[in-house]
Amino acid sequence: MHGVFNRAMEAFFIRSEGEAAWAAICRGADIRVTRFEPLLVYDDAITHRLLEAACIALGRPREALLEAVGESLIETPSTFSLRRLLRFGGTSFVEFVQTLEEVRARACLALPDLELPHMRAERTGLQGFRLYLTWNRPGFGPLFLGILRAMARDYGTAVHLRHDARIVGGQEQCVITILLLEGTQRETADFALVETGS
Amino acid sequence: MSAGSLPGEARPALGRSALGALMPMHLWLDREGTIRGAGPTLCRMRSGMRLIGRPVFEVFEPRLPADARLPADLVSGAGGRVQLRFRAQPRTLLRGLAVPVTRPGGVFINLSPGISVAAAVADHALTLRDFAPSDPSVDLLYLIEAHAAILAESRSLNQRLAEARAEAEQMAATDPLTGLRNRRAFDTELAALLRRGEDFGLLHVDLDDFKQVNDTLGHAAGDEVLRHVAAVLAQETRGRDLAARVGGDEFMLLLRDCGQPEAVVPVAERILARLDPPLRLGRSEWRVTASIGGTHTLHYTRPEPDKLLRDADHALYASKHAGRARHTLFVPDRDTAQSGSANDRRGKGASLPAPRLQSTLP
Repeated sequence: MHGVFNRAMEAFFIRSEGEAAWAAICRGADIRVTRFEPLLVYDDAITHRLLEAACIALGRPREALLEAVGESLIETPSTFSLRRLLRFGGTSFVEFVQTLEEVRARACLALPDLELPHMRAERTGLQGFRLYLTWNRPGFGPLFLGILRAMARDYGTAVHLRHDARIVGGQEQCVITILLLEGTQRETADFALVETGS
Repeated sequence: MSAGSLPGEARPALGRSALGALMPMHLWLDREGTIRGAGPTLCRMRSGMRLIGRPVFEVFEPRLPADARLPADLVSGAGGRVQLRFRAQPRTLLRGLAVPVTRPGGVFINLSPGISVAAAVADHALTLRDFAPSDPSVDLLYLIEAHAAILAESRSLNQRLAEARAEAEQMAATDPLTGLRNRRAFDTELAALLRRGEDFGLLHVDLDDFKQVNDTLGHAAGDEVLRHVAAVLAQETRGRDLAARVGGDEFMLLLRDCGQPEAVVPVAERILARLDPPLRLGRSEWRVTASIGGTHTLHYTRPEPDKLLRDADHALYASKHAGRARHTLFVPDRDTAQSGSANDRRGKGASLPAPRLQSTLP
């Protein structure tokens, strides 16, 4: 998988469990490196082994870990501010969700080898969306659930999210149900089109 | 006639707010050049300053066409291409297209910050809402930011790679047991010094009876002896010199800037003296001794690695033959060599196998 993701896992585990625990996870996954380069692409097997080792080490299910990594991808400040890049997607969470397919195109402009799932949003009534993600990597739905949860927080929008997976045409399709909670628009985190004063 | 309209078809009429939404940075001038309409983003860029009703060239300095005096000049000057710059700070340069307005007349200009969009956004605190969704300016901003982030990441990756490479090179040149340079590093340095025409002394140090340490006390003790010898060699050489472990119990020293060939003698003597005291290995004590053979580039008209190594080896062999724990220096064109030992100071010359080696005891 792309180094951006492995680096996010690294940052997440180091922040929440410490350097030693992360080194132990890497050893448990039989991986020689403990630092991932966000510009390199790694074998998918490395990511799978890391996740497996992390689940064993922390005694948490894979879904919960992936969701936490997704949230941390948005909320951990780094050189590569994914949160900022995603905020270019719209002025509100609803706008953001509706233009997610553009996010994919934009991400490809920045990192052509970053493979993202195909995303399609479908309105379900006044307060809801259903988001369909199709990817050739099964089992990563909860990661995007975490990313969406963090983005909703960033936009100051209270949402209820649910994730299901199904098989469509031999490929896993992840369905994320988004329910906007009424009257809960809170203050939106700052977003300036051009970062100043950093 | 534009391709998109049919003769006689009704023309679309757009209200001010529709125009503003479509083209948030538009400007509508009447025939006299007075600003009659301006898009909301353009107004925001001049916050606190009225645009409507003011002469366009009072607000903007025309850069293209530079000699524009009348609104019509903007249309005809450069095929409609215009560059306008605010006269007041921040003096953002905008580019756009000027077209004539058929009814009620005048000029319509759609402007954009173009490539300098990042500066314009920062200077005027523009937001996503200030750009029409059809305008790729925001994507440009995104790309600028992503590009900067990737560049920073790429720089730091290159930095880390350079460090890793330096470390790998260092490791490839180091003997892992003793921390001295290895055979490869020695060969490279020897060749480099000769290529540069530098003069230097060469000492070949070989431990006496090292096999016995291994056989009697085990390999751990043997390793300790090697580390001890390496520490002595490192301490008795200077930073510019090179001390290398080139084989099991064989070491080489390159002594740079040591002047005359005889200058290597005190170094050899100090090494032998430092090795002389018995070394404690676990419960036993062991007297580590070494034999040294040396030579110097000043002995050769054309010094070459093979010659130097062969002569140092001969001198070492002479030390071994003469009873070990001593040093012998190669001297050319003589029937003798100079030799001496730190602990054998009885003043007796050693018998030498090689006619070119001379023995003189200190």
